[in-house]
Amino acid sequence: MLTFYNDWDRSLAELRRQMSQLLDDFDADWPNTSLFGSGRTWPRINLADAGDKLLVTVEVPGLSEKDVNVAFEQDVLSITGERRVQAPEGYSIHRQERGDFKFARSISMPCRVEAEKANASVRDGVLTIALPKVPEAQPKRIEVRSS
Amino acid sequence: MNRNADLAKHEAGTPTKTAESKPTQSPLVDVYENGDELLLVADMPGVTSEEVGIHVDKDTLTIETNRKSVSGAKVLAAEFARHDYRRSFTIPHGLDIDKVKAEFSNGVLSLHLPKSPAVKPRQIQVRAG
Repeated sequence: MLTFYNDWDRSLAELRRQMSQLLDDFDADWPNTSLFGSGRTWPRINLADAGDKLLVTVEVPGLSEKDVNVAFEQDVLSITGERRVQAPEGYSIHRQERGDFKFARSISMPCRVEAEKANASVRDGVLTIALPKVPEAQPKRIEVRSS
Repeated sequence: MNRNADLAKHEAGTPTKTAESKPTQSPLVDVYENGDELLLVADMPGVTSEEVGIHVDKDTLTIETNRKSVSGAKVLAAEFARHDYRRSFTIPHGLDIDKVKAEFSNGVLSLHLPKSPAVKPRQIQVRAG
């Protein structure tokens, strides 16, 4: 009978392993390098350094420039907006994966930027915000001379 | 001895693409239907209309993108990658595949799949006899 219980334990452990594998595979579709821990955040944001400016790109499918608000205050960039998905008039719904979102996300800048020179645009469902760095934060080349 | 003859033979399951593979992701999709058509709506942010391909093979509809790669700035934090989108659907009989229309705006693809006249709902007049 002892072996019976051992087997039972083992199959439970196997089941648990398979379950966690399943969950890991499910999560693998989403990058786990989120700015705010893991999980499904919407919209997803990338932050890049283009030398003289910082580039923030945000995936906002279905939104146009009038649907998003971008604000900057004390080194923190905030993006707010809302997306509504509605079935077109007279259609029945078979599948609805695209969701309604009301979002507010903010990220702090890794260096000082000139917010008044920033510009933001929406193109093909991606919001791009370019924030020029202050002159002191821009990369400088230091000449190496032989003495 | 007939090895040479097999060289050019393309067997099912042979990979067709050996070039660098970019990560692929399934787009989120809504499917709607009315009397005239099926309407498929897919979120594909960052893609331009030229990069979207829609293929129908027998009863399978595939949406896929082939995005140009760009030399980007140094990434500091990333929640998404510059991936391609790909998703296949089994389509029901009775759709007029030749008349499929696709629109793309703000990163959202709308695919109109009209029904062929044979399967459209018809109103049957009831007359007093």
